[in-house]
Amino acid sequence: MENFRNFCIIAHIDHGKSTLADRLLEITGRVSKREMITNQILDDNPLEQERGITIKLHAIQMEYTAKDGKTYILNLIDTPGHVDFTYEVSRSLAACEGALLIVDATQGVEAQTISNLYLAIDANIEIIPVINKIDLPSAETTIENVTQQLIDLIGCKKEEILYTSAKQGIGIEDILEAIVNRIPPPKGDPNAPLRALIYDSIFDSYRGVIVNIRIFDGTVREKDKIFLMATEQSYEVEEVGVLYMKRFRTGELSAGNVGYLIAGIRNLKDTKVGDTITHLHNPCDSPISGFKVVKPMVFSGIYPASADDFESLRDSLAKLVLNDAAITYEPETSSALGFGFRCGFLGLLHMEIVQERLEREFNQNIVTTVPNVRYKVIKTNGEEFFIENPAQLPPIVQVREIQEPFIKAQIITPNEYVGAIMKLCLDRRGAIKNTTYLSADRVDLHFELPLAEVIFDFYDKLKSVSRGYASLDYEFLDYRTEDLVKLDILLNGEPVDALSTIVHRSKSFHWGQKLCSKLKELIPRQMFEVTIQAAIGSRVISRANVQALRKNVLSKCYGGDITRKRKLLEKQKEGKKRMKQVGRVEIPQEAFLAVLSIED
Amino acid sequence: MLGVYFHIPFCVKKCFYCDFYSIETEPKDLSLIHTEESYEIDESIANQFLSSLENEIKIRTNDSNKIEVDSIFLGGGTPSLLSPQHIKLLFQYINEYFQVSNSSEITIECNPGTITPEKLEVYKVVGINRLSIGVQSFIPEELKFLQRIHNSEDVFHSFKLAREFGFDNISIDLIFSIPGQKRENLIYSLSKAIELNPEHISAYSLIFEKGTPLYNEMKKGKIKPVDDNIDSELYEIVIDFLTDNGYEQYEVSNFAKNQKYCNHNLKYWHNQEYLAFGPSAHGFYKNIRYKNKRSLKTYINLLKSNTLPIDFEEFQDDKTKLTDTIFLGLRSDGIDFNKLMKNFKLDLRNIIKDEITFYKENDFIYENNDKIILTKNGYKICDSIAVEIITKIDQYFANRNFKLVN
Repeated sequence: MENFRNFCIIAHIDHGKSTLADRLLEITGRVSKREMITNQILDDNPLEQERGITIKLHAIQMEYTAKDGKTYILNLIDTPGHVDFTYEVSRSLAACEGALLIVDATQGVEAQTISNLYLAIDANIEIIPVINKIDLPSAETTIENVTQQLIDLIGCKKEEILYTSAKQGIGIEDILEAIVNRIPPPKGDPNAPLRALIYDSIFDSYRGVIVNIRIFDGTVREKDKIFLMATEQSYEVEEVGVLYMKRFRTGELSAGNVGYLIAGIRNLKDTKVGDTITHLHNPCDSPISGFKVVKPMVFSGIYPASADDFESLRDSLAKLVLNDAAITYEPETSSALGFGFRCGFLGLLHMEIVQERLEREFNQNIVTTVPNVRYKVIKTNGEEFFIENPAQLPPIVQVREIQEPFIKAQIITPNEYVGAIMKLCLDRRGAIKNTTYLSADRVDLHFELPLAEVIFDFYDKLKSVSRGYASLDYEFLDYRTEDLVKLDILLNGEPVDALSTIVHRSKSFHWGQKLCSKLKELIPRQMFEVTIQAAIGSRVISRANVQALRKNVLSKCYGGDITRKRKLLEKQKEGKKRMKQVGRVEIPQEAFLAVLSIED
Repeated sequence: MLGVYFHIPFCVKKCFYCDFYSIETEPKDLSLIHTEESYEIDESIANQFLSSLENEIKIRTNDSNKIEVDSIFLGGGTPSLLSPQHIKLLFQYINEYFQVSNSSEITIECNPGTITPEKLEVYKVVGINRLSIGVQSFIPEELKFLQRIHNSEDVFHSFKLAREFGFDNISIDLIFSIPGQKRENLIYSLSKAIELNPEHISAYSLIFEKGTPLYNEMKKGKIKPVDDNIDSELYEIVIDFLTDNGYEQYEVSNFAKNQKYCNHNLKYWHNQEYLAFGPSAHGFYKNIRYKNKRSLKTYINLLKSNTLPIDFEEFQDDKTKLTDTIFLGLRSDGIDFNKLMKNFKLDLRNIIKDEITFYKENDFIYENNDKIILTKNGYKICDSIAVEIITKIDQYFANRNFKLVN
């Protein structure tokens, strides 16, 4: 166990985490130069590569012969790098004794990094500060400043900071030496009852669920009967091993090590991240602390663009949750969109990823509705319940109060943008709670904000008012009673349930107007005039009209070329098929997300 | 009976909006444009073209005795550029391979200014009984914009000449929605047109066709198409003006007096068959729609080696046949429910009964003898209605094929 080192990398998006990981793999001989050509090996999902983020966790074991002549086993546990996946980060940190804290020499520390750093400090693991991208020309002027930020932030000495360029391969050996020398070896007793942490699991269509684990105590062997403490399920182990670039079967895995386990588990939902695995017949006394059930925060309707594809969408979702246990979905019906699903996501990014995966990997043509948070409704008769769809709100006379989730948001920004960010947060009904100067020109702002105000375009707005410099992290705080109303949209007098939203009363008029004019832009002219109304209860607060189509006929001399004429009609027909019909009104699919594109 | 179309791919000068295939005869001196010698097509090209035509006719009709036809249409290009000798030669071929019925409608498209007494006389001799004159506008600025080579005087002169030669079935082509077109200018052109008292008027809106200089100018931002609202208003002016003056609208763009419809075009719109010859010509024969190569050179070369110059062919299956019958019918003299029932076993009236109610309420259609026919308001959104009906039929078939699976 003395020669094991378990570590992860904490970094903000784009600060070079994946490149560094690739470099470590290359230098320890885990991958060849040739394999490096398709860059960034850990991010093997095409979506991850495109967005430059890691969604699913990965781990890789490397061997490194250090300057002291000894050979060490290094387990690199990759972590996701986005605000939606905080809990998963905390679990992979719990599997490590140390972390590399990577900061871009030209960008400095970001909110995401700080929040993950705090998670690492909470987990009481060794932190190795690394300033990366020192090869960039602009690093010369910023490197001093970033060094100071790191010293202030983690209270380290200047000498402890490593300077690297993962891209150029500068300072990689120093990192490996630091991992070996500074990160303590794992503790634990290979002969004690088994205690293993699930920090990730993936679904393989041939093998079922493959669980990634860190063993704290004991040893797990093939054919062992194991017990999952949170889900209270037992299985027989089929295969255990460690992770190189591919799975490498070892037959057993002991305290201090990191690897995988296959045990005929069919459903990803049965292997909750953070759960503890022990032996069925000789269990440990208590599970590893920190387990949480992750709950979705953002909900939206996902409908097949064509009603015929409902079954196919259901199958796709069932397959998708095999790979992503954080998604929830339940069938729902909309008068405008027909049969579909109400899906829950960890956050907006998670939602976008799921939508894209459905479209790309599963070839589903889907219509998504405006995302919303989970509201708590208290009825006049005292009954309390949660709703995940504005359309579920009971008639307003029966409602005593509506509560909405609030979050604690941490925003780190250069101080010149503080004014603009304060304004943005106040506009979003936020309250400032704390301001800390991290350095002379970098501020850490704490806000309390309604989650509903953040899930729209808050992140984009934040980036735009701060020229991309501000970063955001948030966590759930509590439910609060607010003056909320349901805003309905009517087309030619008929309410369109899929367009209903819950908004704060103070914003309802503004929203009503904006929504009507946005829909006016999006809804094409039809054979008749279309009236768009926004209403609260029976009170119409805004209205816009889409004029009737004036002319749609090709009055051209086309001779005997009937084929071409027919093709033009077929093209129009395809366009029509992509529309959703409410009464006689045809609504383009993007209209159901209109709220997202409304400018303040 | 069958119709026959000949594409004559020659023009003195190409109009910059037109995407029909033709090559320019390139008068060396533009001042010659209104004199006769400028119109001559190069003798050897014309000879090669005509012998290719003959070869194409021979190949396409080889399996039968003389095919009976009752409409012949010479379009282009500018068919009136053909010399009298070539016209005679063409009709010699026609009569050699086809049995031309006595009641046939035989049309030639002419450009004002290219008509001469000599040609008209030959037209009479070979049996041409209908002229279609490409007038387009009576406003000099508009003609200039359209880069037409003629002027209003040419039109009056040609029309008068044609009447003197006894042509009693003449059609005039007009174009509206010309960028910047004033309402009163359109009305002026319409009133000048009816002053001539033609039997038939076609009025097309100017379309920016990909590949034309007009389209390229638009892409460069130099020319802007008229706005949809104005296009619609101008179209309404056309319909109102012509129907008020005794012209019956029997298709989106076509108007006739005393039922002097264009029988050849009615074949297109009634989904009937027609043979077509010449480069870029579109034909429909034995359930196959085909298009010839859009190049005179390729056309001539292929036929030299006895190969049909086919660009594409499309078999008209039952579904396409139904679609064509419906949308073409809707564009012209209506959808005939009885015929659909008889030919396709399709109860369309029932499938679209909600739509029919809605169209009637909104004055888009009227019913007559088990037919639905577009009103003026309906013609304006003809394509929307066609698409809706076709979509409805698609859904009907999709539902019928739907099987319950446990």
